[in-house]
Amino acid sequence: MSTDIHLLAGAYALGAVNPDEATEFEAHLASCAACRQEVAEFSATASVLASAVAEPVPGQLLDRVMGEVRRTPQLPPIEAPARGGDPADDAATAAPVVVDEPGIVAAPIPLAPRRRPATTWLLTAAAAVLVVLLGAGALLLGGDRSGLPDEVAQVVEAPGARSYTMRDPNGGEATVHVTADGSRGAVVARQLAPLDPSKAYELWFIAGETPHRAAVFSTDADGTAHVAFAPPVPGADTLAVTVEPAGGSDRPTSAPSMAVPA
Amino acid sequence: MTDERGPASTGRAAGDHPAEDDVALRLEARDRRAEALIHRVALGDEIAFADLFKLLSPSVLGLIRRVLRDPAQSEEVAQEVFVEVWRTATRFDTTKGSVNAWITTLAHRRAVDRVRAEQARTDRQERVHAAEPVTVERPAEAIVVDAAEADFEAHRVRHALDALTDLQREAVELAFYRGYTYPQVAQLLDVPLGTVKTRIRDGLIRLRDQLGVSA
Repeated sequence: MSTDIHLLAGAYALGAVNPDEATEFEAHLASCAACRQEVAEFSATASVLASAVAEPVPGQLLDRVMGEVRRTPQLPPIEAPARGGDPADDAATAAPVVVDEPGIVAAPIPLAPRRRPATTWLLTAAAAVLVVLLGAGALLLGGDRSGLPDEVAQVVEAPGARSYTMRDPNGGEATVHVTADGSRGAVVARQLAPLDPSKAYELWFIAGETPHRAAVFSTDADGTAHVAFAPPVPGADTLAVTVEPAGGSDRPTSAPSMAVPA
Repeated sequence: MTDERGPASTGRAAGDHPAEDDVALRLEARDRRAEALIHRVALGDEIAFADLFKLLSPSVLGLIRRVLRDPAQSEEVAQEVFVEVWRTATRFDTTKGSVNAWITTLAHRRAVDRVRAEQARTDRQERVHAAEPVTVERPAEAIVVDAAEADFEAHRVRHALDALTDLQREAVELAFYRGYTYPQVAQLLDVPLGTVKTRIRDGLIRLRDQLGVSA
């Protein structure tokens, strides 16, 4: 083996090494902490070099990427995820989701104008909504938990997890599960109308009059969906689902198709 | 390997240039935001993924296009990269480095693989020419780059690159921005392999120190 193998750390970190030498160098890295440290630092340096050449990105590229992403399954994690800590900056505190108001929500909820004109969000019978089932226990739709992805099943089966089920007039159902400490959530939906690829369902946690984005999802051809998410706020008065453009919106742009007090 | 580096040596004290310090803070906040988003992407959160794309795609696309040149191919590779990020976010290990470093390394590797496949196919001969200076273009597009941040980063990198010797800078730019292997750089510059390896490594050491990078 060459005595100056350490000198390759720079070229390796820049990707400037042929595959055979890269393999040889990687074997060296397994036993050389100094080189591993250097490669890590040089890679980080290279990423700064990259940010200096940032350029604007066409909107169509985002659309194409989101389209492909929605057809692409994610790899399962290698080991049980250690989710003791909270992932998101605005993730929950220890407070659980609070049940505040029973019954159908009828009051209008005004939306803060952002990139779209202000819309008053009316939950009325004409706006095709809603229903309200307070699920104190876990009502799992369909009863078959074996078909759930791991991260969804973990929320659904967590001790003390609460669930809230809502239905739309077409027979679609969505159950939102939230762990007792409010740190993790999951949506299990079935018989939702499949959407055009330019649209997606979006789940909102509404606290007071403010809707907070929770999850964006689309359904299989048979109308089922399973997605895990991090609850955006620790307490919500209402959970609701609307139809939004693919990728979701910062604020709801339509009346909800279904909602439930939470 | 000992490390006696002091605080980031950018040649100015915080407070000398308040506008630039503000941008530096914004860029650090951007990195922290990327860390927060990747955890949600790993949970299947498409909103978080779209936000991560908006955050990092300008530098990813810019880097790929520096290597690949062709805009259409560059967008294809950028798409591959971000779909791979989605697919493997569940496996991302935060202890192994930053999200930004992971994604830009992935993007650079894919761009280099593609351009080398092209080179092998066309077997073109190239004369040595100076690597292009770092510039940022700003046509009107959907995901825009904040002008102040882009200028700050470009300026910061240019300043750091200026601290290298001409020979170090040339080797680093050919290897990174042009995607050449170090034996190809040696051929282009007509110097021994060991010389190129040393220049690249010494250049990166100096850049690392100038930019205040740690890992």
